[in-house]
Amino acid sequence: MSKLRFFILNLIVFRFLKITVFLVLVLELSGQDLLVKRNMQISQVLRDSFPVIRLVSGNQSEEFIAQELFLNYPKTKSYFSEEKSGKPYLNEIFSVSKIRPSDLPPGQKLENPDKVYRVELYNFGMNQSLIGLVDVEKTKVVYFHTFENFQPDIPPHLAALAEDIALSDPDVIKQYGQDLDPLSVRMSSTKTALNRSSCQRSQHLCVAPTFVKNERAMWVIVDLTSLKVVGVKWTEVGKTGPAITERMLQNEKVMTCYCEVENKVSKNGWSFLYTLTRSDGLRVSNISFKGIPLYRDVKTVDWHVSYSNTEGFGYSDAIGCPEYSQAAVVAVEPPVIYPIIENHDTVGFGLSQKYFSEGWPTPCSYNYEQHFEFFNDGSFRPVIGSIGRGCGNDGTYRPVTRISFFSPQMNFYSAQKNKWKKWSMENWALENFPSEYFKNKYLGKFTTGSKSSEIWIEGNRGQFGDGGRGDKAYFYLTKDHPNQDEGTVDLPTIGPCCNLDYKQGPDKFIDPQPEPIENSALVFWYVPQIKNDDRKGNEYCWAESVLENGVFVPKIYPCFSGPKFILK
Amino acid sequence: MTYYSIYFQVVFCFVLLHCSNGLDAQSCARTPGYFANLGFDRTRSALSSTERKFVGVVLIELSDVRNLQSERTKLYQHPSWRSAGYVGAIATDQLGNSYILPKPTVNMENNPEEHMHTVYRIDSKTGILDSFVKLPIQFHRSLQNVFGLMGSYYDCETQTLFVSSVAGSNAQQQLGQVYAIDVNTRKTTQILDSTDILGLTLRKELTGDYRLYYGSARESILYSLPLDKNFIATAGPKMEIDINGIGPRGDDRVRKIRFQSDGSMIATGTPFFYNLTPAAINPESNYVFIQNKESGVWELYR
Repeated sequence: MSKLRFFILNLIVFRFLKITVFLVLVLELSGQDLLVKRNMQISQVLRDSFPVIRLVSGNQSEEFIAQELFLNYPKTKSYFSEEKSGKPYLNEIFSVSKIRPSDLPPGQKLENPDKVYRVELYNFGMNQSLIGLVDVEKTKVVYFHTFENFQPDIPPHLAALAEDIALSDPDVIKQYGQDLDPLSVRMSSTKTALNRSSCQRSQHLCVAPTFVKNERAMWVIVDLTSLKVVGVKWTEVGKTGPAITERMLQNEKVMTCYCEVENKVSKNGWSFLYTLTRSDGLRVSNISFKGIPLYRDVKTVDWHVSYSNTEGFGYSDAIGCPEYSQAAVVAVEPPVIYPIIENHDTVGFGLSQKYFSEGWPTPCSYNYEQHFEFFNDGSFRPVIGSIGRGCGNDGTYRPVTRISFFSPQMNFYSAQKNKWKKWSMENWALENFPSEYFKNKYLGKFTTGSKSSEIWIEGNRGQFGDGGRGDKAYFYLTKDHPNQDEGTVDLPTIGPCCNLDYKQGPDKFIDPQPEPIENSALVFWYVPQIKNDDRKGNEYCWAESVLENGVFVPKIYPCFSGPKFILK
Repeated sequence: MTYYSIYFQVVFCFVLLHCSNGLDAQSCARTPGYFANLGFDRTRSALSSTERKFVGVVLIELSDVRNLQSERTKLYQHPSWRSAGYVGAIATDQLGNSYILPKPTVNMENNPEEHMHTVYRIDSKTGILDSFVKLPIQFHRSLQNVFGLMGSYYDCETQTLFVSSVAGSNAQQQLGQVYAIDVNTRKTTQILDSTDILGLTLRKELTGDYRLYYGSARESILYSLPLDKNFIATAGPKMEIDINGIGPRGDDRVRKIRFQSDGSMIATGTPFFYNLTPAAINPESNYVFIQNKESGVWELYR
């Protein structure tokens, strides 16, 4: 027992100061909400040598001793920080309880089970649980095991925090109605429950406080790692159905509101429709500016990714709806409309859509982003970008974007030695700066058949302020055949991943017999070539997971591409 | 352990003898004859359908047989093994012949639709992959669903290969089918329709009849269907287990079912949403169930 007394004395002396500071902080904050307290608590423990939010506070109870013995166990301590960076993970003790017979691993017997406690620790950074059995009489850990992707039942204070986060969320309040106030919940006038949930994509700790209203229940998925609401779902009380999780809410929202559902936008003189396709990403169609129809539709039909270190290795990815689709990288969040601000002025607006692989940004997962930028002066820029991370640092991305025009009387001119050269047949070219640019800026222009409007193409040399470094693009001109299978409807994979030349897919609508294209309805295909980079300070088309505030967050280095179409 | 390893779990569609978490008690799979000439350690080797940088089937030798993510000490691919395109489920018979189902991954480039219902076989003696049976299922080209054959199970006693297809189904409609293929005569018999199935297995009842256990491709539920000796359903499907909310994801579909010699059942779950997300980045979990002797209900053990 002298060993135990010595251990307790140590704990009391060395922990006294920290506990006192912590208690003072908590008392000072007693009038503030749980979220603020939680954030302060996290900041505090991440500065501690033990980055752990303890469950049992300093006293001489057996639970406290079990908790401290477990935290001082070398194997437990080895999970407190990331080996590579030395940065701390956020950890929390979720429970300390007397052992039950079912807690014992098969075949294992304990000498004095009355003195053995089960301690559960959750590592928020790794989404991992550490479970230990601690003999407080012998002052040692008698069993230790880790469980990846496993989340123990949360303690009551986290349940209260989840409820608090839900009740503070404007969308939750809006959806439930005015009678959802924290007081009625705490006074039990509103029936509540805490259900389990999963955040499969973020790999975070999530739960679902549920609030009953008449015959319906509102499930609010709360992410206790990021401390935010993930989404809301109404169900009929008493009905069983699929588990309500992050992925279910995300997929349902995207599938119901955007997948093959036309949404209309009229803004700043622009009007268009947009919809999420099953393999061609977000398609924007019927694009008009100030009443003049300009583009029939614009979409990205494929992402080709090739890796130079292994010949022929790569992927042709389609992007699109998360379910019942041909997409390999799927939309999990709705599209967003945002203002474009240059020099403190709003010069237009954009529509963006993101696509994710499960597990991004782990190796061999992908994240793509589409932007459609509509400027107040009639300019339009379809932007496509990769946010890494892919299968290696030797990758080249070649997204294939298809742009079809409204006018049936189009002509195309490419720049050559600062002059315009008209194209009479279907053809392709490789962007070549500066020798094949007009005024060092434009790689081509369209005439639309209307005297007053031309559309000039400003090539991307990295001047658009989005971090892009230039496109070195192949571009193709083909005659628009709406009734043939040339991309008017969703295209399955248009070409192989790993061709290094112009054979990226659109060429098959040109070869072997190019058609005349003068005064025709045209399709412009654009295939930038973007090489990724993972060198420190030069990262491009790249993403990493970095540990911040005890949990992993993605650090991103996007590579955006795309020309700008300028209305003249 | 790295952060990366949390996600990247290699999917093995068939494991030989010593390379599994536990084989079906009825499994009679024999090591293919062609192994002998390749110099692979058969206790650490398996056929894999999800090796990165490979299209088709690959024979691999693991450095650690207990860890499917461990280093591949040897890899082998016969030229014919690429010809089926990307593949999914693999089942092996008592002679060492392996039956391979095509399954598109990431895109359809390597999996032409006219071959989506061809069952391939790697001959145990020659090690050559060739088409074995083409099922009489019409392939419906659809933007909503590019999949055809999904699950397979070889029954040793009847020498029958069971395969499921989800071809033609969409968000509103299930058109999936299950076929029994007599591997000796190559005769095919449809035993179930209008049902989308990922994983399936057959179990003989004490009465001598059979029960087909199958995991739905659309819900986190495992059903069973009683079959007579001719594999004709004698009653409707019965829900056996519901894995909704269970495991690290809570929305897995059952893609593999194994009965252990101790009577327990292992259901392997993985996400599936009728898209082309590569199987290699979809994590898997095993759920072990034990049947309550009194109620007959399968209860989650771990």
